[in-house]
Amino acid sequence: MKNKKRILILSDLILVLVIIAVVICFWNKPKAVEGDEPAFTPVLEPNAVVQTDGMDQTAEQIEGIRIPGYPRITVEADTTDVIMNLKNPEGNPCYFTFEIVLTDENETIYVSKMVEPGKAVTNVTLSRALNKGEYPAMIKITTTSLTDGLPMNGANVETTIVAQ
Amino acid sequence: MKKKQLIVTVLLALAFSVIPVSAKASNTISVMYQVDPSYEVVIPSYTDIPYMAEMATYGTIQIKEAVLEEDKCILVEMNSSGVLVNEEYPQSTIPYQVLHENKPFTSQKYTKKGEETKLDISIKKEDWKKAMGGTYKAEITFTISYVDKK
Repeated sequence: MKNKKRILILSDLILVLVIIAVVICFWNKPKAVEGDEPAFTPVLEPNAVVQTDGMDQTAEQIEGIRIPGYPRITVEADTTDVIMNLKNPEGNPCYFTFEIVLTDENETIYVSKMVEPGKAVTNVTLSRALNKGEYPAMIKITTTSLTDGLPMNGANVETTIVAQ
Repeated sequence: MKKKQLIVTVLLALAFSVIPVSAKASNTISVMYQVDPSYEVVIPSYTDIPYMAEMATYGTIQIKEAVLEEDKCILVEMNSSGVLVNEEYPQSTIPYQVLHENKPFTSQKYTKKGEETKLDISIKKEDWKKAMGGTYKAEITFTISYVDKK
């Protein structure tokens, strides 16, 4: 009888301890704080490769957005898979999204996803192959802030695509 | 007789093997290396304008790199809507002007690395007074071209 009572008290004690442990665990669980989650999730270009230009990170940061110029882009004719260098220079405060538009036809032949600073898209799949020749084109660079995902100033870079 | 034939054959073989070498040695090898033009322009990213400020620094257009052909230059044109738009109430706008040395800026040609244009933004006091409260934004698109100098 006495033993039964002891077992009952012991089991009650264990139950109480388990309940206390559960309450303590729940109490100490880190709470989701507003603002902990990233402001936005960038849709990154999977084909982008790291491309550094030896910029000295300790040097004075450039205030602004570095835009690479493309006087001429030479690509292989009669194929959709071409090589070019669509680059977001190191140190920029934003993602780049590249859109290539053939200006004569106002035809978009390529749109990238977001390219991080210090990366470049080198293997580009065009929406159609270009015959041999020269094509006036515009590379539209849309920018998205790294921190809050808001648009920043952008650039339209005029170029000539030479398919050969 | 056989010995003589052998000597003649060896001498002929030597002579023929030497002739191409001497011909090669007298040739000139020309090496061509083409440097494609390239450049990099820094444009202003954005700016915060203090409330009621009639003039604020907007940023600088700067040529960071420039490998250009003799008769070519970089043309930077600014395409702006000319109005800041209230983020919450887009119907509320504030007109502004981008200035360089107190004159409206539209475009500029550049020929070498290091050239720059400092830009300011100007908003009239009466336009501030008409504006609703809130945050105003405007993105500017710069058109960059590689053009003839003239």
